[in-house]
Amino acid sequence: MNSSEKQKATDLTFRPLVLTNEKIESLWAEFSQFWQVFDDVLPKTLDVFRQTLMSPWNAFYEFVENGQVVGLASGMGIRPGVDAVIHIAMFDRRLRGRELVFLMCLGDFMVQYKLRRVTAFLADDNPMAQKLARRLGFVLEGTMRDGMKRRGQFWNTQMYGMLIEELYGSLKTHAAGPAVVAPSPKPDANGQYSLSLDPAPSEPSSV
Amino acid sequence: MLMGSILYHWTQLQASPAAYDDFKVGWDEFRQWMSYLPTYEIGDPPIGLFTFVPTAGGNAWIQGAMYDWKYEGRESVFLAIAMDVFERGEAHRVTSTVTADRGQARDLMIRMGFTYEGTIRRAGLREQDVEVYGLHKEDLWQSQQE
Repeated sequence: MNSSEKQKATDLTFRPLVLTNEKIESLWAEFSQFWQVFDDVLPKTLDVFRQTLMSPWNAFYEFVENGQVVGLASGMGIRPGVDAVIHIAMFDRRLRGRELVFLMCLGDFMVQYKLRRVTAFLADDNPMAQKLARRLGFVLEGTMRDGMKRRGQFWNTQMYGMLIEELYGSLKTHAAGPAVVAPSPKPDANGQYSLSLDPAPSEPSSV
Repeated sequence: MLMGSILYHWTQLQASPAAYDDFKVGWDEFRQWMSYLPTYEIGDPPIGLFTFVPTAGGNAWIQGAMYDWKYEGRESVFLAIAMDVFERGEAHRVTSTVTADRGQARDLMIRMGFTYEGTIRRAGLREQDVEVYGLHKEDLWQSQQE
């Protein structure tokens, strides 16, 4: 990741979604371009989308970068105090590097509804989402056979879960920054590589 | 479903709140469910209620309760309900959840041909793990043959 990408990643913020007609329509314009958020059963219409947004058992956050809305996160079927089903859609299709913000958003949502866990149901036709879930620290809890019918085909659906204490652990890990990577060695004037026994600069000098 | 029936079932469920799959459902939600979800009353007068909650992708979650807590020996009734859901095209599979501390419910699922598919950790109201069981149309056919 270069410095400008790093800058972009840190600019990403989230806020609870405040619904207006204009907002619903602009979100629908973005949302309707993603096959990943639809299936062959629920009608792909603005009305259904509107009903979903307005359901009292669902909650939404929007992701904002440089003043532009770039994504939407939802907690659906909320069982206060227990569980909710999570979805994330980033309209600019960028996921990597944004894990910390996703986790912070998830944390805000879980604290708000006092949830002890969250669940993500991810079909096998969407491996990117499954990779993101694993990077965020979700644990695979099972596989629903043919859990999803999409684009004319049945797909197994993986059930991922994250407990509140696992979220704390993930936040801690991601807040600490990317994993320490040793700098590439450079040869000296004689073309030899020296092996330094000093710790890497970002490594703690003591435990 | 008529409002009188909805009230009857609501009263029954309040008398034994853990019966409805250990899922706490508020009155508003329950009334809405009864108005639009595929729901089956069992017996006359009713001694049970089964509701199918369709979710994305053609899967329907079962919320079921027998007010007398008797399930054994009634498997064929439950399977007939599942068959009706399939035939009406409401879902291509149904999913049932069983809290891990209910061994009898687990045995019932297996007797009816459901397949264990995973465990959702601490998703029960009493923080128990919740086991997920799925039944396909093909599983049902096989179960009925057996």
